Amino acid sequence: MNRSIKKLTDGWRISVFAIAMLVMVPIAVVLLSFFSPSQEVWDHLIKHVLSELLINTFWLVTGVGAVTAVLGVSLAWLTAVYDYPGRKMFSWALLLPLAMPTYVLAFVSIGLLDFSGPVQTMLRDWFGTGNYWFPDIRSTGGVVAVMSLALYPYVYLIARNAFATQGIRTIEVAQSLGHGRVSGFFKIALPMARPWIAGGLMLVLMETLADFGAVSIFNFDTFTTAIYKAWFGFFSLSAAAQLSSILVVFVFVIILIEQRMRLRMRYYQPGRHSTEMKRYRLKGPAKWLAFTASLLVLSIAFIIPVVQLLFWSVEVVTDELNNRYFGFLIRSLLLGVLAAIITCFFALILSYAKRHYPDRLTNFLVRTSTLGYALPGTILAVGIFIPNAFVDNVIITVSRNVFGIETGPVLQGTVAVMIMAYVVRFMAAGFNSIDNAMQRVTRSIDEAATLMGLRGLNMLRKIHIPILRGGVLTALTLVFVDVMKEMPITLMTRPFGWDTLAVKIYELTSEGEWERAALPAATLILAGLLPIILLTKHTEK
Amino acid sequence: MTKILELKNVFHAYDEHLVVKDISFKLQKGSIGCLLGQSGCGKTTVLRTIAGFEDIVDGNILIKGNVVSKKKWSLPPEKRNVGMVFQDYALFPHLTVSENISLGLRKVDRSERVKRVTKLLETVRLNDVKKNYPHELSGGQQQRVALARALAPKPELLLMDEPFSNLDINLREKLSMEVREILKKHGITGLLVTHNQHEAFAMADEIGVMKEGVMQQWDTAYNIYHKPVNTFVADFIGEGVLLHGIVENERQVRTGLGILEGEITHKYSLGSPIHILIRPEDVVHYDDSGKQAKVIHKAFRGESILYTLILENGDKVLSLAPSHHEHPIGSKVGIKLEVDDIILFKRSEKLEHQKTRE
Repeated sequence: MNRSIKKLTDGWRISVFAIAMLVMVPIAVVLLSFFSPSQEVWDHLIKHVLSELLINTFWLVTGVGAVTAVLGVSLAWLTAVYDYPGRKMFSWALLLPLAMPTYVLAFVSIGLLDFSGPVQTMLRDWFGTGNYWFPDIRSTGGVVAVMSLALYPYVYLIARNAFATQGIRTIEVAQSLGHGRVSGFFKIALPMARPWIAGGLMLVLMETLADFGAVSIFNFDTFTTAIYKAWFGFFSLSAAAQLSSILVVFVFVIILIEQRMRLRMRYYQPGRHSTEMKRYRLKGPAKWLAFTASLLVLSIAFIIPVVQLLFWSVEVVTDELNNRYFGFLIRSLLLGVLAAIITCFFALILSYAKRHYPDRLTNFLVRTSTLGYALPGTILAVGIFIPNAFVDNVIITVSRNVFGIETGPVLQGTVAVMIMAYVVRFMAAGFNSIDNAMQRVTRSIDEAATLMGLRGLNMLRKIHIPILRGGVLTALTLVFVDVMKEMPITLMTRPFGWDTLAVKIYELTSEGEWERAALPAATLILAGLLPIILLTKHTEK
Repeated sequence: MTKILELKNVFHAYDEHLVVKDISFKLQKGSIGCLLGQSGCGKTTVLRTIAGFEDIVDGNILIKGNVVSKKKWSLPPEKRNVGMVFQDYALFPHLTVSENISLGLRKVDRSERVKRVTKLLETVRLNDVKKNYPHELSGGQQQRVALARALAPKPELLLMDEPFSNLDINLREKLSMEVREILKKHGITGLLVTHNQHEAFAMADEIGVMKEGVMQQWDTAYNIYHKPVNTFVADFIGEGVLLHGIVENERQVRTGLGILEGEITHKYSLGSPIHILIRPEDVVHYDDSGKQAKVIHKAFRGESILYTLILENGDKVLSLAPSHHEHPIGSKVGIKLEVDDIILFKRSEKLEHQKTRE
């Protein structure tokens, strides 16, 4: 009895529990508002808002899901199983769109393809006004296309890993059973990779549901933009919370599917191959078709937008590269660094706690602590603001009634709240890379070190830190870049004057100032390249 | 008897680098062949060219008399009617045992398909787990699913790539006997690849020993062991030493253990200095023998003891004695040679492990 209490009150456990609370409280707050609806707010939402939001969200999710699945899977199959000109380069270059925040691709696409953009202007010069057909970029199709191009790498990356380890072997087995290559792909390789494809797809859908920047540039109302408008447009926090509670249910469904797929992947361990399988060499027109297809996707999703951004940046650089820009940059960097350090510190605690107590409670708490990656920033902003406001109110009341002192809000509108939201949102990115490294610090490594007389801090310094260093650096980079690109949390919880690059992009693009948004956008892409470099380095090993 | 498989002077290269050189052999219907060799000797590549996964640079591969591979042309694997058991089994994790097995039966109509799967499940004794998924099975069961799946489309030829290497030793022996029985009972022609000679002996009617892409000897297991054509085969298969000797006449060779008489397989001129292959079981303990040898090393093997003996002229021999013939190291024992076939090699050739020991 005594012992079990001691075990539960151990420092590790308390820390893990506290970190898990950071995630659970916002979710609970948002969910509670679902169960305590205010009739008035509901009536308004159902009458004016909900049906449009649901329809838009439905088209967005199905559209982006379908397009990213087709793009991601076909490109993954192509680069994993076939050999064609440029295959090696494409196999990592096709990840590059990950470096581009969706909202950047969104405004560049609109700037390029809108009526006044260079493409349509050129068409008008050739054919004359009204003599050509051009799809409207500001449409459901346009949002779906843009988001798919930005998000397909999630499916591509995971599916390619699956195909690279089992693709060629699967086709060989299929052939030995009398299937051709095409039937082998559709009947066997594709169903077999289903957990991976579905897992990647769920990540895409999480990002789609969470997206705020791109849809607001397109004026395409979804739950995230509605939450923002409810709060900052109509100053109705309860409507924002109500909308969040609906969105969070969708998110949970997706989390459940994703976790199930992950469980299945464990059973689907691909066989061990002593030799690397030889890719099928494409010949004649087929190899140029593969080359063209890869280049086309890469160009539309990355090369052309980046070139356009660079042109715009050069146009405005003399006006825009001023102290204001450096202010945005420094605040972005500062927030990124701060959030990265705190997140990684917490992630280390989680990882060590899991190592010390590999029991179900700890595992559950750790899993909960890393759920934030699925939660849209808008929900987190609402879910973190409400409890903080509550605490502030308590402090204000207590100090007034007990001490007779008038205080303002202590937590609201501080960087601390913002950082708290970042930590919750990006804990998974930090934890996964740190925990991967932690797997290599096995129990027997500790035991071997002890036998050699290394204990306590010495062991930490000589054994643990060197082994963990790589993982921690990766974690810091990932969180840092994610925070820099983050838009809704920053927008909704920033203290006065804390405008960052992402906030600036939001403000400029909402006024259609594409050119002026180019410089901050280019800066963010540059930062976004860091994790991709890490990723390709890692997969090459 | 019909020839199911024939390889004629097959060459294969990875990027200009020849890994299979001039391989030829045949398999008759119902017989089981084996390619035996160390890893990297090209045996798996030969198997993959037969399956159609690799193209050949020169030569011909014929299945049932039809050319399936030749220079610059090869029939797609799915049209060869060849089954394959992969080293890692490559079972499909998303399909049950039954579904895995019926995957190759898509051209067979439904009732026939069900019948055949049921029959195969019985053959490999997996009826109880037919609805399970591969990850729920033991290694041996997975292996049998792989076999049943490969047999389902009734292939002309069954290829097996190191089929037992992922199993532990006890299971390996049991399963290899079981598989041989199944193949024999159904008259299936098989070709397996392994680096393990015991597996080869247990499974195969004919064995081909390969080294660096070249076929050293294609022969029965008995001949591979007792009549190796060169020192590589002699060394790779079983144990033994080469003794110095001199050819006395057509049936006799003089050695440090006296005159040996028997069938001399390779002809050498009289009086020429040669090496003679002596297997451990050729050296028999015989207390009344005039020839004495000193024990310098012994290895207890349970049912027998392998002695390393040194002769008076300094030659070493291995001797396999029943387990209760205990002799301490350093003691002298009487021995005599019991050899049926006298295998001679030129003096310049040595056994690999003898070289390292000297």
